[in-house]
Amino acid sequence: MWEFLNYLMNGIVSGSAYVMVALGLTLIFGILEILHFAHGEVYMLGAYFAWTILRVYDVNYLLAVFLSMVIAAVLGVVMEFLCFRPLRGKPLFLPLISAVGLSFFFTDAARILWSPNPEAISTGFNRSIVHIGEFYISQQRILMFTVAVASIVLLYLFIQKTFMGKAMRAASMDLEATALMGINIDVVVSVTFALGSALAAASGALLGPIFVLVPHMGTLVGLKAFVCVILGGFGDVRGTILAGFLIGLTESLTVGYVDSQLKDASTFAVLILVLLVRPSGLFGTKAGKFY
Amino acid sequence: MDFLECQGLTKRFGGLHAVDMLDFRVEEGEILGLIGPNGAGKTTLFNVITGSLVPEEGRLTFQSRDIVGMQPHQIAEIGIGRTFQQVRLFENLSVLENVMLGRHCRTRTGFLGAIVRGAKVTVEERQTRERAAELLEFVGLSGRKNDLAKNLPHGHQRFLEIARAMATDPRLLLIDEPTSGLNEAEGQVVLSMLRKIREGGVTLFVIEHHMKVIMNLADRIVVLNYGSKIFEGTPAETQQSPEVISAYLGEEIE
Amino acid sequence: MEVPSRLISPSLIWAGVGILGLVIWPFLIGQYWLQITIVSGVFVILAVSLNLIMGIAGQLSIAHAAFYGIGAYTSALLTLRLGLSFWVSLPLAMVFTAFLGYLIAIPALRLRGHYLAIVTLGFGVLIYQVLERWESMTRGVMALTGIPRPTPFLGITFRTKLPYYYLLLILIGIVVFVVYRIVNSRVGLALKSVREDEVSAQALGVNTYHYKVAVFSVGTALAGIAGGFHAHYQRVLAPDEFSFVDSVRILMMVIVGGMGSVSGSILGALVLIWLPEILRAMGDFRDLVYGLAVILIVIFIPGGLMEMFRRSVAFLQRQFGLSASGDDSVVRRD
Repeated sequence: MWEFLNYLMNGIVSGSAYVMVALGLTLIFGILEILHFAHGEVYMLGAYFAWTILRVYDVNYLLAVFLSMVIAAVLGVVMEFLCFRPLRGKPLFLPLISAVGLSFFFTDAARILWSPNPEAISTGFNRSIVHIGEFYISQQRILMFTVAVASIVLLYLFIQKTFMGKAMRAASMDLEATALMGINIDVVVSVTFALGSALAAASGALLGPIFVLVPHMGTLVGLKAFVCVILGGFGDVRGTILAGFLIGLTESLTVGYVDSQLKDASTFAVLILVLLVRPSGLFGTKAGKFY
Repeated sequence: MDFLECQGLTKRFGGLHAVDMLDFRVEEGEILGLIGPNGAGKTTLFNVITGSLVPEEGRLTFQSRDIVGMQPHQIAEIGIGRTFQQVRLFENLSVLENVMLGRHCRTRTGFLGAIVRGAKVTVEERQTRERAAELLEFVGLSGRKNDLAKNLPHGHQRFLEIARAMATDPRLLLIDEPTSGLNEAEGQVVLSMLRKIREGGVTLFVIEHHMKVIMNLADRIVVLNYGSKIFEGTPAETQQSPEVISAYLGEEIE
Repeated sequence: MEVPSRLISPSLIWAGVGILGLVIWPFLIGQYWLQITIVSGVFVILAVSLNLIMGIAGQLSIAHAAFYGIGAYTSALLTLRLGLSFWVSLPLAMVFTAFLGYLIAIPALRLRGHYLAIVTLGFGVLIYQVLERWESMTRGVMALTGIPRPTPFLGITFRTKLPYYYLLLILIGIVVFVVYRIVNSRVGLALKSVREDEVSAQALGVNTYHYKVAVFSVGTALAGIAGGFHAHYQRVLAPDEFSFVDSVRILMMVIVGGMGSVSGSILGALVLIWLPEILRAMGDFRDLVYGLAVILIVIFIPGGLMEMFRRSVAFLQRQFGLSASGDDSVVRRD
């Protein structure tokens, strides 16, 4: 019973991290239909930014997370401007390759700027464990979960309530029509990249202390975030949130009750299964379009 | 022998009856016109006949053979060709290649044949090229056979699509709005092509928006409204039918 | 239009010079560059075969390295466990890879575009996980070692890089020949029609589903050949050569070379293997520059290197008045 609760909680926590990464992807995909393969690297950079800020300035951990988000947001805007904007309206495999180029660039940059060796973030939260009966959880995980839920709610409100959010939704339905209505698409896209990148960076900065930092840590997380986007139905925000938690739980229960070796494989097995049964994703309705 | 016959044909989208209990026949050798207000289900009917959509109810036979449930490529094989309302060419292939692809269902070369490339294959390929060249001659595009299809002007793209459909050696050709987007002169060229095609023994089933055009072209006309047949007769009868006039009321008759 | 059949034509001479060049190439370079040449040759096969699936038939696959890996491990394990000769295991590996390609194609090709891309991506990651985790069979990250060299063939022993090089040349020749013949045939046209417009293709009698499954099987079979060769050349296999990143690398070769162009894929593979080697001088900054180069290529020459080459030839011809002498076999592009 306690064991199950522990696995459940672990699944929910890592699920919330996946959701944070996947939300940015899903927004970007919804509007530009780009498979943004460098998004996992933004997650990685977020972790390294926070680590560096903590090392150099010795500030409060939460402030470091926030600063990391700000830097990532700026990076997201610049990245979109340089690498994706020139390719808008071109066949969609071109931005895909551009994104892959970016991901090589970021991974190597991290190796040069920091180090190829694993680093650990010490936050003060990851050592203190809370327990109820035999149910254990570190404060870091509680923090991760809290921030994730808060940002998911905030993002949701932003999309539903603000003008910019509505413009984003409109753009994801029909980019051209939105442009014709006099909305500046470039701004919408920039905001989307800023938000998405900040969320991914926050996820990295929060999950980083639970694991270790290595330059290629983003690749697998990025791929899993993709799985969430697909299961969620490509560009569907609610679907992506549900899918993120589903993936987190699947992994954690696989580790607990099947074989910890199969943790990563389980995600992709779920993906293939779901797509074979329901090609438009668990929650989606949109059809894929490539050329 | 019945040519194309449909009985009680019904195709629904959700609650909407796009084609509703439709009965009609296409007689061999005729030009049958299909008209009706926007959204009457004309293109849906074409999509059902060519296997792109599967009807919920009804019988559909071609030369006494049940064709409901056949795949689009099988429909092409048994001799029903089509063109599309919005021209659909293989844009990045040459004009000649577009027409050569029309010969696909009349040729046999497979992967192994292509690799080995024996005598049979080269002969077949030469025949394909020759037939394609003939058809391009017929539609007057011989001079542009090496251009990419997307670089042709719109009128020529229509001609090309007709040549491509003819390359499948159809017995019945479904033509969706042959003159749409064409100027007067180009429209006349298309109509004379269609008449020549009929003289060559191919039956035509034509959707057309322009009343004047279809009245001149067709031997008989079927009128659809809300997926049902509201009239069937000669062009002259159709023009005088009160049902047809009231169905078109409020719509501009061109 | 008929090309006069002359015994000696300029293109024949150029082909002869090219082949001669390839034959004497190993004697012009050292062992290190011969190694790079062989690696790039393997990727030529991979890029050309992926181009058949992706450039010609328009089916985006991000699992090509996984099929490459399946070919490599199959051939290696057949020789190691069953004691088969390389000359038997190579075709068997090809057949088995094609079979797996066929199995994944059947369900995956019901999907289009992004979905197909992601399913193949998922499949690729899954295969990688199997190679890494099924230690009793593949030895996982410990690497599969002791893979035998090919047994002597017609008295030729595979003790040095040289016979491998010539064997690879022959394999590339076969693969390029097969792909070239397929592309320039009724089948090739049908595959291109699938890429251009499936609805139209079906209306002309093209069984698009059949062609998609078939092209997947053929393309993956060719990747299996590359894998088989690699296994017995390298003689050590570890899963990390067949990861998602490697699939994407092959994908980039096709795109950088120019989608749909066989010669472009060859060029793309050569450039993307040799570029990092030339960049090796940059040490740590290698992947950084590599990533940048890829982005710049995609942004500034999205049609690929082959397209750029054609354009510059056309530009030079215009500059110097060397028009194409009314040759109507050339496809006009504007």
